[in-house]
Amino acid sequence: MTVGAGPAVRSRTGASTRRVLGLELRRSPAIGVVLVMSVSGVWSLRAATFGDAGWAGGGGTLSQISAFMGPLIATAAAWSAGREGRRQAQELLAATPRPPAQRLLMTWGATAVATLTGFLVLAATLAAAIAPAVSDNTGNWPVTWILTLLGLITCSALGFTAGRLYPHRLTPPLIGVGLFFWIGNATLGGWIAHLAPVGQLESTDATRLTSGFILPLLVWPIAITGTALVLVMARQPRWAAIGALIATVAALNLSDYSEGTDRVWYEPDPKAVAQTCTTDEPQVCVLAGHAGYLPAVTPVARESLRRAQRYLPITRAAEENPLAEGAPGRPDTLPLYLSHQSVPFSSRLRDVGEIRSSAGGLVSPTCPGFEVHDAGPLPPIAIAAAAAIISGTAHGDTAAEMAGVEIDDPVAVAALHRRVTATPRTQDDWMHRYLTAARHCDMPALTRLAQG
Amino acid sequence: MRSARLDRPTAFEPDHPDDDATTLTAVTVMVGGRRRPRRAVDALDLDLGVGVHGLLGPNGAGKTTLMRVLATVLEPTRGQVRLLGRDVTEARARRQVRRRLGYLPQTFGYYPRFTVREFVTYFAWLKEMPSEGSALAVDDAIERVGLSDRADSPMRTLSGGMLRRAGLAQALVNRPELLLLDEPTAGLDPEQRLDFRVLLRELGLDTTVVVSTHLVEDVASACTRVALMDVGRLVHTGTPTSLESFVNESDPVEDPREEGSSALERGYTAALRAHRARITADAKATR
Amino acid sequence: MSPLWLHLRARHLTGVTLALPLVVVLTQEVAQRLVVEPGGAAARLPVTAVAPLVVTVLLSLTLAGADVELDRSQPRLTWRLRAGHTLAALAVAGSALAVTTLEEPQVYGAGAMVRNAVGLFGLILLSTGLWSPRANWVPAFAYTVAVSAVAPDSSSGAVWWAWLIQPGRLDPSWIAAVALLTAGLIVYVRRGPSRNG
Repeated sequence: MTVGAGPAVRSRTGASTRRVLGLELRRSPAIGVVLVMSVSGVWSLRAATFGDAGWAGGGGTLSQISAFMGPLIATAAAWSAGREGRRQAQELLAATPRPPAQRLLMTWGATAVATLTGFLVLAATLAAAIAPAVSDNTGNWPVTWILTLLGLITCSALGFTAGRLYPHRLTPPLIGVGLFFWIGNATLGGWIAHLAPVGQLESTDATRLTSGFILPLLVWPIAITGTALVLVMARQPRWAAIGALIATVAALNLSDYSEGTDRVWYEPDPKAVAQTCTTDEPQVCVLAGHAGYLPAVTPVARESLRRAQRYLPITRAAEENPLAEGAPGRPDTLPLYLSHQSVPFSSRLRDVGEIRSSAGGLVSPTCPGFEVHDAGPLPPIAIAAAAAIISGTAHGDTAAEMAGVEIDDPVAVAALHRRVTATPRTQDDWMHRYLTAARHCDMPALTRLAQG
Repeated sequence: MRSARLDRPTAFEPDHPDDDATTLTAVTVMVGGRRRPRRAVDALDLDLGVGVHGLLGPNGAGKTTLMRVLATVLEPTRGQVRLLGRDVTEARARRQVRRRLGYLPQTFGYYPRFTVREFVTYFAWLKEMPSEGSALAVDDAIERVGLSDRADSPMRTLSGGMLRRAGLAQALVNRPELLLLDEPTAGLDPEQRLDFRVLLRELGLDTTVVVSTHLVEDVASACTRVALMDVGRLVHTGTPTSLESFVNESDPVEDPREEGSSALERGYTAALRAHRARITADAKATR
Repeated sequence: MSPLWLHLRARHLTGVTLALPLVVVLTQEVAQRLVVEPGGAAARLPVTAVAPLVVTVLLSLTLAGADVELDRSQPRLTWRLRAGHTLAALAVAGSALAVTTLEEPQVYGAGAMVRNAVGLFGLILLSTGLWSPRANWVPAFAYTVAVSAVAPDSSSGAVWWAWLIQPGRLDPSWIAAVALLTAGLIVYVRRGPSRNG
């Protein structure tokens, strides 16, 4: 009878390691976590609010979703880690040759693999939703996506550490709650809260990662994960101390964060305002990221231009600069708004006709010193009528909204109706009088125009 | 052939190439911490060769502590431990010895959702068995303990005796040269105990087996040698027959409790009695 | 060493009694800081959803002893004792949570906290009786996470299944929470803790 594997024969990493990893995956709560991640992530992507994301904005969406996934992953990791303590298996395990570090690495590894899988499903779905709609790939948006993954892995490491140190059966939910508080309360803790592993990346399409923060943002989760795992698996305080030192240095670099200044993690991205324009006149420009929409937008924009040109000296149409929100536009430009027009998983626009309504914003008077709405109920009706006329009545309500007016009163609605159903000649005449009154902020004139 | 990352290969370095014996020399184990220290094992010398060694003794005699020392789970406070020819104070040697070791504790924790096969597979991996052939070894171990029909049942559905057998399977999976079994027959029905004794005799042909048990019939039928412990000390080592003969050597005391007991049981009580009498006499003499 | 004291210790009541005031104080701290947050119900979620979760999860420790089989064979552990135990636990939870929000009842609504404690405890009782006394916190925890993540708007259906995140006024969300508690009480009081896991 052949006796035993002699000491000269090593166990080869390979088939049996894969088998045990599969076993750990099957028998750990990680599978449930992956399912939840995938389902909830995909569910949140089908909502209309997702609509305006490009690659960088998608990174922000991922970060928000991961703010809930992180605590869940930490709970699952803590549950796996406490298994040995809860089941009192130490006696049997102590007599085995394989070092505890390898054994625990395998247990945590299963959770990490499940986390990675869940993240890939989420990211792939998001990418599939964004890719048809967005044409522009510049910027450091991949870093944001990678940071979210690193953050989720960090959550699993932190949960594993807690579960291993305190194998009580309530450790998993309490670590989940604790992590949730850390993540969710940026306003409570200042820059320390911003160090939470997930949910802190406020990336939008108009911003990019400030280059000075990229390295500390990458080092921080890696260092924290490494320190936690080394501490709990290999029980090497020296290496853990080195890891903690690196993590502290990274954290101090990140503490430079202060909201409202230029020391934030995401700064305005100049490339976000680059535009792609048609080569022929009248010129229609869209943001480079929306270049795919240009063929669909151009005819509608030009039709809108033609209409507006009857009353205003407009020569071109261009999509709004997202960084210059609120600033007055060029007087010769018809603004276009495409940010809420993208449809997930598709390259078409949601409602291309709605572009016409942006002309409504051109007719709203800017009267320094007082609000038009304070001058009575009738001037806003005039503004709404003008907006509806200049944009074509199909999107009259949206045009009125663009002009900053909301009509609730049925008398007002009737007056508006009278205006927009008049003959074109009457309309033209009325518009010219309106524009003169609006330019001079002549409130009594606007009141008369509203009445007829 | 070196493997990748995790294992650091070392050469096989037996200190005595022909000597695979397991010996304990003047081993003392103190337990109870600083508050209530006591000697669970007291200056014990033991020589274990190939064969089945029964370990008998009353509760609290130190049997389980001794088993834990042999399993490298516990370090002795004093004394030298050589397992399979290696000195296990060094971590590397300890790791190598554990690869050739099988241990079944009195109570062991298990993961309830693991099936029997997964449980034994997991321990095959923990014992650093080579990948090729380990699946076969797992099946073999499960079959040897008679759990083939329950191999894919979760462990939480097993009865106490079956759990014990599953634990035995993990102890056997790496075909150990040193097998340590603490109360292996607890929870087994008489038929299963008979099968187990057959297995023990088979194993004893080329393995050093140490069985700690209260059931003297197990010792009588399967063990080639027996060691009797009391209060951390070895009272008697020898063959089971030598223990039986204790009755003739000591004073034949009539004890009503011994009605219906076997010769080995009577020898066991006689040996203990004689040992305790000797201790008391020595204590009186030194005063 | 009275037997009642021993029973309470066996059910981890000492640990829970120490932890509960800590949770109350922490919740009050967080509530005070969050009161200036805009964003309405969503901003209050850390307090109105998480605090009842933590309190009921702590109390879930007391619902079963170390060995369920052994407990089932004892004459003293009757359904009456279980019923009294759960109602007492619920009273403790409710009052602890109501106390935390006494300072800002309009903003945080003691009502929302109490309703959430009622509903979550019902979930915990259901899982103790039907599934596993050791992992009885899992459904309540999973539900809280799921509902917080999905965070639906106040559509008419949402008030039934997303009762956790509704504001505290008396609407169908209370019916859902009380229904869960009733079901949980019936299951736990009649069957006792489940024999699995």
